[in-house]
Amino acid sequence: MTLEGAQTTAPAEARGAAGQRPPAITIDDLGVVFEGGVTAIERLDLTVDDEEFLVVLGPSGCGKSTLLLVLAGLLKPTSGAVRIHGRVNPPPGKDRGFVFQQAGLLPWFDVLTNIELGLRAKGLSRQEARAISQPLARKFGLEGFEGKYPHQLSGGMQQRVGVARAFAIDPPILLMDEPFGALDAQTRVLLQEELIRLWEGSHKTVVFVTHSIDEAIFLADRIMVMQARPGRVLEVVDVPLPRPRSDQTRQQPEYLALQRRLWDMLRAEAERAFVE
Amino acid sequence: MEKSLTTAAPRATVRGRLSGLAASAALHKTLRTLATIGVILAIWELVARLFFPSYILPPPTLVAAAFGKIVADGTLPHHLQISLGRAVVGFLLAAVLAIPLGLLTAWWKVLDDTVGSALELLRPIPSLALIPLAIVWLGFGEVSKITLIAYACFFSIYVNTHAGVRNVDPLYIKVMRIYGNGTRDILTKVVLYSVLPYVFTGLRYSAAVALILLVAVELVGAQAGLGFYLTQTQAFFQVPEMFATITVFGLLGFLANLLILCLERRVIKWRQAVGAEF
Repeated sequence: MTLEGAQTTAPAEARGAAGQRPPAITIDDLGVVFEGGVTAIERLDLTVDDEEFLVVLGPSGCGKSTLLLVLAGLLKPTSGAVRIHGRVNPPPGKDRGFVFQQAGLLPWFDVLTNIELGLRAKGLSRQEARAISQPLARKFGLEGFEGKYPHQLSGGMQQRVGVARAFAIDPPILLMDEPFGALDAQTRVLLQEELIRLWEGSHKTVVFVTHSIDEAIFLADRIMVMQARPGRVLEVVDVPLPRPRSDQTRQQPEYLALQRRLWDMLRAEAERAFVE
Repeated sequence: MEKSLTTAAPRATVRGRLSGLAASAALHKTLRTLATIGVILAIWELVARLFFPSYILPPPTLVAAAFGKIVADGTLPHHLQISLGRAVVGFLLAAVLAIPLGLLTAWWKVLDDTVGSALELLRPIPSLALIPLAIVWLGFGEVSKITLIAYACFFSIYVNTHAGVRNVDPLYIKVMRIYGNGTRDILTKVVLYSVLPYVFTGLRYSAAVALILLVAVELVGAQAGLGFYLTQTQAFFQVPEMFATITVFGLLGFLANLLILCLERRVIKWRQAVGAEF
């Protein structure tokens, strides 16, 4: 971490200076067609820089979750390819953490054991895994809940465990599939702020899928807006808001202007989906 | 209680009151059940004494007396012990075979297409129809009895375990894969756990089946056991003893179910309301 800090004065600058560092993710002419012949993704090109926070924004059915599954290595592209740190269509690995929409915790394991799921798969012993999961639980506001089962936690707490599980394997890339989509609005805002705090300074590349415009602007360095049927890139928008971001970010004129612009972009899409 | 509700710590008090209400509701339910049983017994007693000779419909007091007698003279403990041995061994044998086989056939398609389909062919045959065959093949001894009980119990455990594997939430498997777990870990950390409620349903059902088969095999050819004793009470016209024995069968079924439910509650700790859906 200190080495990288010496190399580039600030992560924001590194992100701005394209080409200096190899990108984390390159997506090349990606196409995904499901067995029934439904085209989920069509001709998608994208480069995600190292340590960038990229949000994929779009209506339901635009293929944004499918894109994440391809990046995770759970789904093979029908055409084109994704490169993760140079590796073409790699299988699931410890270089990518995944956060699921419904937290995806195993109901028969307590909080710590759930956080350790990826660590144990990496071959760590119970003690070694515990040495990582325990401080992590504290960092994620789960102190006192370590021995609880998922059903004993609120939705927000469950998703904290889901995010902690992804951070536990300390992957350079985080893939997040509408992680806060099932939560109430207030919890959602709190967890967004928590995530951005944990991410700033973590040097992780994030691909975050959502259909919430506010969430996208608040979190992202760049927003890739997608349209549905077939899933295609509508536009890639830079978010010029300074970091660290906080509650005040949401009042800034740039924020509001971007909100307007994205809504205009998505409105036609939403209306189309509404009629269908 | 009433006063503190409006003043300090209202949440704790309300919760205390709620659990108090739940407890008293449970108590009321138990009382109602007991009252109903009492009324039925009273009517039975009255009807039996007024209209029937005791060798047709003995009153409950006479049944209780007969029960006391066969317990005291060792008749009931003797037969009960033999019957329980058969039922428990048959039941456990079935569980030991059916659970692994249900897991294996549900997980590996090749096994399902071969062993699984063969079992599906046997399943519709009522196991009572196999009693004569079992006697021809295995004789009148313990082997044929236990085999028949195990055979009959096998299917409901097997079918439920199989269904349990098939109903594993695909999300959990996706989670395991993404976090780098192989097939072995998916089996031990996901499948084995999610299958448990199904296994217990199968176990409880087959405990009832074990009792049915127990009675049947002991009625047909046995020198001891509760079923055999039933045939004796019939032969000697000891109807109160017959009623007492039938009651014992009922109690056995009730207790077996309760025992497995308790075991399920201890094993499956992660569910909010264990067994609430049954």
